[in-house]
Amino acid sequence: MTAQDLPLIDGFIDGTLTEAELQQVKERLLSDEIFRDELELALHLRGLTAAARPGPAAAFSARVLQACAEISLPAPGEASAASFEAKVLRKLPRRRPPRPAAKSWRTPLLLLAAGFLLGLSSWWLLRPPVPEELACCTNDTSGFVIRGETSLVLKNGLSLIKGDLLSVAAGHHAQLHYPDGTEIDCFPSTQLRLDSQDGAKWVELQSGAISLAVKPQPPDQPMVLSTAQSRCTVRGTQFELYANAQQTQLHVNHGKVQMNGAKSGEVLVTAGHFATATAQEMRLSVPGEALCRSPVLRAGSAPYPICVPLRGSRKLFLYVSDNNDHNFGDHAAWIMPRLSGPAGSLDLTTLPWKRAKSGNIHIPVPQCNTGLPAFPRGFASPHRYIYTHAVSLIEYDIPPGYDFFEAEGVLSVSPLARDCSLVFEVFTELPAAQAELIWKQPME
Amino acid sequence: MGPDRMQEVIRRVQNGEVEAFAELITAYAPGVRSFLSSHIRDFHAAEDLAQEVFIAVYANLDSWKPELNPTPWIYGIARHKLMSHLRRLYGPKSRINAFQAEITEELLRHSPVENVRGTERILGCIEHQPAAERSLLLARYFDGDSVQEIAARLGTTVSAISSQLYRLRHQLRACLDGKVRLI
Repeated sequence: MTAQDLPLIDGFIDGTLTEAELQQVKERLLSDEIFRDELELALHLRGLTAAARPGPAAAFSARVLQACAEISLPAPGEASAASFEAKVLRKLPRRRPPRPAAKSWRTPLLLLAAGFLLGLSSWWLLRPPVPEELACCTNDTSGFVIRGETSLVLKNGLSLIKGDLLSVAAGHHAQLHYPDGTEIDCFPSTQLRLDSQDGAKWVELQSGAISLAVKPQPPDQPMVLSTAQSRCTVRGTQFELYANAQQTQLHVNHGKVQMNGAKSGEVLVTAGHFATATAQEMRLSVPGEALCRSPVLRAGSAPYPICVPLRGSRKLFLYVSDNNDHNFGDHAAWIMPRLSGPAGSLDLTTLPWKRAKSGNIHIPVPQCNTGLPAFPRGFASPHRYIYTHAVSLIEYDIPPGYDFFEAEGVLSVSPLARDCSLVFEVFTELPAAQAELIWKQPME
Repeated sequence: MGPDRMQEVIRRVQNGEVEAFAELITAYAPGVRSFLSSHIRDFHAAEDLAQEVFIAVYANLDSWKPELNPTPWIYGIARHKLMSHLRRLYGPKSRINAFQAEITEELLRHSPVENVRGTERILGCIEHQPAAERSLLLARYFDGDSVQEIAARLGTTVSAISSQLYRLRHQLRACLDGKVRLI
């Protein structure tokens, strides 16, 4: 290989070679191992740098999984909830393959007739009792119910029985009503299973959020709500429960709720307080504590999904701290920030904030849908976001009809800014003294 | 993640645990995306194709045999997708297109079938370079500037930039091979 070959390699990478030059590349490739090695190295580095760009790994995985879940879509008309349904149906036990047909038709016919008579008489004697209605859906919504191996459309008036698995579609609420007057409001994208044991109501919240108003239950039959991390026992109160794969949060509005960890520990949560249960611990929180706190995000960290119930509050504070590293590159973005509730879905980038600050003298206030500085070229920047710089605080007055906040928190850095770190926090109550400290914090 | 672990993951997905497929994506996505991006100039097209690869892997899981090492199987699907894409892209319209496709095919014929590694280290290796060299690498690889554009911007010749990039490529290779200690 000679120095004259180098522009040939770069030209091939750039796609600027003429026909004669490409012919030359092909010949050199077949005859010169060092040339081949050099071209492969140049291509390899292009591939590595493309794949190493921070940011989209989680989104990439999510897009693929979404597409995979849709490969075996069920019946049309249930498309909004189809991905989860497909997953659930796939988990159901598979039917055994049919036995091969017998060669003679008489024997199977006789066996069939005998079996039919036997089955009919057995069914008559041992027929199961008609399942008792546990609750009823009382609003027109979008979602589905898995009952055994069948799927039903979740709609107003649908009776729900023991074992039903409900999935509420994104952007919709479902209201469930028990005969004793207990109400459950299922938030968008919630999945839960209804059950009863010895006459007591049981709800297994698999993911999402529910708000409950529980009528007084018999002393020996308290209502039980279970999640992967906890079990709540209720005798009659109002509260909200939110669960995902990592944690469960219980917010009590009236009365008190006993919360037990899946493995150990228990807390009694009284009105105005909330508790968090993870696989490792249970923690009783106090008003003024963040409803949601991300782990420390650094360059290359995947976007952190945030999904919190607002507990009836009409205030929302979005806070980004710099993890006390005072780094200049702490560019942050709340991606796709939105409120949802009975009033529908509201893009938070269209809602004027009451007060806001950003922690950099060049970015004194957050910016909506503009300014995101350092998504490397080649990455699709999000269309809706709030761009800011730590330390940042944004205060909103929430209009009525919204009770849920969702977004993704991301650290937006250049590929080389490795030392930046951020923490995203969401509050509905922020103690005045703490807020003042943040408002007055000098900019970098 | 070793082949044994991947085989277990695939068995779980075959048994209906779609979520387990995320683990397979996490293990193979950087390598597959890198492999495709090395042969496709358009980053977005490479990303789309990478998604198609994993969807095809998922759709064909039934054809996977437990005794097979999943790595060559997944990269085999990636190669097939890549060549189909290039054939669509280039088509039989001109000699230039034919040469492009033949060169890529020739390169693929000899490249080893293994999970591409180094995506987690490449940024550190670039950062390890002095400022001027780092800027050149960023312009070349992150901004996608051609050697002509870089040469024009720096007021130098294409040959000079190509020579500089040649040296830098070998420094990066040494760094990726672990011969340079990153601080």
